[in-house]
Amino acid sequence: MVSLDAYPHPQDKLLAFPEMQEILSGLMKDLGRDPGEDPLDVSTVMEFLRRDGDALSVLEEHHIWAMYEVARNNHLLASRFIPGQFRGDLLLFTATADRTGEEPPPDAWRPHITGEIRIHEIPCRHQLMTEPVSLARIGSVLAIELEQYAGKDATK
Amino acid sequence: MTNPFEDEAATYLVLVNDEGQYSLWPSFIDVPRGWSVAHPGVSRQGCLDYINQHWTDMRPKSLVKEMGG
Repeated sequence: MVSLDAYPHPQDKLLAFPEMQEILSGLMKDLGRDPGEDPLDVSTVMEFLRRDGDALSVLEEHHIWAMYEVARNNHLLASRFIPGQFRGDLLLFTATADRTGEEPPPDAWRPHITGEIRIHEIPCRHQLMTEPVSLARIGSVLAIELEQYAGKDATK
Repeated sequence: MTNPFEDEAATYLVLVNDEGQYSLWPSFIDVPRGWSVAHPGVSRQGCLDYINQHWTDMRPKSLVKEMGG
C-alpha cells in the first residue's frame, strides 16, 4: 500500500477542522503571497489564483465552498472511524517542508500495518505533493519498488 | 547510504511514460520497463527544471484523449 502524507486520526483527541479563513490564508502561502493580517474573502483569493493560472482558478466561488463542506464532512467521518489492520507493507511519502512539529509521526500507522513501513521524504509542502517535481520524485521511487515486487513474485 | 533519488551530486535523467508522466531517474540505474528517456540531463536541478517546463498538463494522456482534447 502506498500513501501520500496521510495519517490515521488520533483516537484520543478530536482535531478541529480549520475555518475557511485558515484555508484561504494557506492558499495564499501556496501561491507565495503574504496572506496579511486582515480577513480574506474567497473572491479575493480566487483572483490571485486566476492570475497565477492555478488549477483551482477554473472553479467558481460556490465550488470552493462546496469543496470546503465536503472536506469538513470527510474530516468528521475520518475522526469517527477506527481503522482496522492492513496485512502487508506500507510505503509512505512524507511532505517535509513547513512542518509545524504537530504532525502525527509515521509511527501512527504502526498498529494498522502488519508488514514493513518504509518512509520516503519529499521536500515539499503537503499541498504541493502532486506538483510535477514532487510527482517525478515519487514516480521514480515507485518504479523501483514495483520492480522489486515483480522480482519477488517471479522467484516464488 | 545516500538515497539515490536525492543525491545532489549524482547525475540524473528525465524519464517519460506512455501517459506523458515524468520521472526523475538516477542515471546509473537501468531505465525501467514502460519508460523512455525524455531528457538526458546531467544535473539534478537541470532535470527538475525540465520537468517543470514540460509537465504542464497533469492529466494522463489517456484522460486527455477521453476528454476529447
